[in-house]
Amino acid sequence: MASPNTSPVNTTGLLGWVDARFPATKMMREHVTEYYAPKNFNFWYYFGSLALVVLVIQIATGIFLTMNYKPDATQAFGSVEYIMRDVSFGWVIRYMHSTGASMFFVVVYLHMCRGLMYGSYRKPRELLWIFGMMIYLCLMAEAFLGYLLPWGQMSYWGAQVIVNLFSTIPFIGKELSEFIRGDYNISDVTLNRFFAFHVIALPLVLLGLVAAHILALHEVGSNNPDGIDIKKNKDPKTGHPVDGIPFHPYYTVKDLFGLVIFLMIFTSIVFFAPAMGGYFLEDNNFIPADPLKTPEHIAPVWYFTPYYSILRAVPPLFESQFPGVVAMGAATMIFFLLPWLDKGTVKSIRYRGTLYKRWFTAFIVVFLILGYLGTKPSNLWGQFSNAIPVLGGADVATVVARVCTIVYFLFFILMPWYTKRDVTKPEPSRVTMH
Amino acid sequence: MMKKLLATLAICAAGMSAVANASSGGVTLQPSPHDSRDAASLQRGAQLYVNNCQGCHGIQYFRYNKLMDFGLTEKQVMENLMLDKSKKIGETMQTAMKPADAKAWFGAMPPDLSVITRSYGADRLYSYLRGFYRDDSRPTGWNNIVSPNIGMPHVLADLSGIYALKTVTFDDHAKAGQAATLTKGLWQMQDIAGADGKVTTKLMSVQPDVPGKLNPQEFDSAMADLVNFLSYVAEPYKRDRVAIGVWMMMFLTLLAFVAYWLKSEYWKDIH
Repeated sequence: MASPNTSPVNTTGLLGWVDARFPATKMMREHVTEYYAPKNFNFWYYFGSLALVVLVIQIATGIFLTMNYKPDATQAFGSVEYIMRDVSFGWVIRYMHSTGASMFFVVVYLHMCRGLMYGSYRKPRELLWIFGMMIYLCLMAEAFLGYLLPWGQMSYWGAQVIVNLFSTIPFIGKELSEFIRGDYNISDVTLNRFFAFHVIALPLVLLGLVAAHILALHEVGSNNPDGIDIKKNKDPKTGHPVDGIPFHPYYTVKDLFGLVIFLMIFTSIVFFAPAMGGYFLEDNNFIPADPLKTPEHIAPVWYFTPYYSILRAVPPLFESQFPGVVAMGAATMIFFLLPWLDKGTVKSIRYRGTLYKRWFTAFIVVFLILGYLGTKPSNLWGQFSNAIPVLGGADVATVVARVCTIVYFLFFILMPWYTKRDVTKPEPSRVTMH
Repeated sequence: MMKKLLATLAICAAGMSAVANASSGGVTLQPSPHDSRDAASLQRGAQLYVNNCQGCHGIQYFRYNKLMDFGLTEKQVMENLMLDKSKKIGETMQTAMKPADAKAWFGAMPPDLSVITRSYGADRLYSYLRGFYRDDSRPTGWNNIVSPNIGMPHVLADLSGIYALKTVTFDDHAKAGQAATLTKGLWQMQDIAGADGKVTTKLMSVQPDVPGKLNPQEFDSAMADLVNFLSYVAEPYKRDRVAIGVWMMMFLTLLAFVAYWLKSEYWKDIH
């Protein structure tokens, strides 16, 4: 009873049976054991795999939280305290989830910064970049929806502020914001629908996008810190890039080391500083939501603050905050255009000229300043003296935020000009190991 | 390139934190001197809470049997700390006050204190509890330097005695600052620009006026006990959290060495 081995990858036994019916070995080879990645990945290349790990942490802890959480305006706050106190190791699960939310953004921001530095968005990786940006937007929506669930004061008023942004849209705004809330205010109805979107709708979209992101990456191959194409130089015998090494075992063991270091940071936050001084869990969110009491200072969680700063920095027009909302939207969406804005002849910052390096540094610095200002009230640094013309009386922090907002947008708008004009250094023919 | 960039970022971050430190106004908070490992202090704090606070403020997420975590027996809890004898040891420590009554008496339900130290902060709470002073302009007859015009009366006045707000005006900010460092009670400074443009500084401080059952040192120490207890209530699992965290870090440190060794072994031939 010899059955013909129809497996295309020459496997036998049970695996052969599976391979004849499902591309198990084929996929394993394509994506892991025979996926050739450049051998010169540095520190910045850990964050892709770490983002995947954080996604898994969020899904796993999220499942256990859902078992005890009550999406009900009268019970939500109490059910979170119940999880923290009465559910066995509930506090670990909850702190892992709250820390995971912030660490997701830490990892994703560093991952994006890597993309900017080494030109990972450039041809042929435009679609890979677009999928990544869609993941980022989806992640922001997911974080915003999840933040309402503990039903604290910041949950409530943060959601109130964000949903009200939609009401600034001319003509349809008011109806649109009511449609989103399902009520005239943030209420139990809103909590229920946010729960549904947070727990099932957006995670599904996120997983789909992550799959597309990885497939696109493996189609075009990974970029590297030198920004040169390793596929141009293949070993004639094997057909593999001479500067490439199989993802497994080389990068699986390397990423494993990175993962342990990441877990050390993650663990020290979860067990020693879960609130991170009010940045991961805001103080005011330990007060149950009260629709009648507006907190003095409503600050979003740190990962939204650069955009919140931009929103506040743009002056209203005809008493409408709409220009600010547009600027905030544009500030996130403009990243999509990067592959076409960059006209540089080299990809990596290592071989770019001073012009790009200065603009890039300015961008990172203003992003951090905007992020910091977004966590503080706008009277933070007081007002300019009335003696100063034009600026007299204006909040110093607002003026700083305005300047930063302009630099933020100029980084993108002027990019075609300064990348073309930049005096670049010659790229090496082979990758360099540092 | 990388090093230069990181150095720039570090300088920016340092600049930001310096600015952040410079900008804190209002009353100067005094740090709560409590020791979270001091079981006797936690027990005294629980007693103070049950006798003086629970009438209006519940700790609705904290169970009576958790009081046994810091050395009390079930019998002690049932007999001394459970005022409502119909309760069971596993029930949560709610207040007896009904929301409708609270509304009629105070205008609002006094907040639950289960996680008060997490939103308000232990130091702020410690300062607040010691910040009450007599103020006849208020409906309750009391005011508080930490939370001005708060609706809560000074329920611990029999212990602390009565404090008064003492205001001294200085013609220069530095002198007021010097005087403030010598003040024992809570204090606040305020610069006032006169009509002639000259700035004077008011130093307001809370000072004992009529003595109570406890002297100021004893009262401060009692309030530290109360803050200690409420901090415990806010995060009863904190001790486990830190203890497990230490083991986790030791395990991960070991694992980091193993992972690094594994990585270097595989990467030996990659140049």
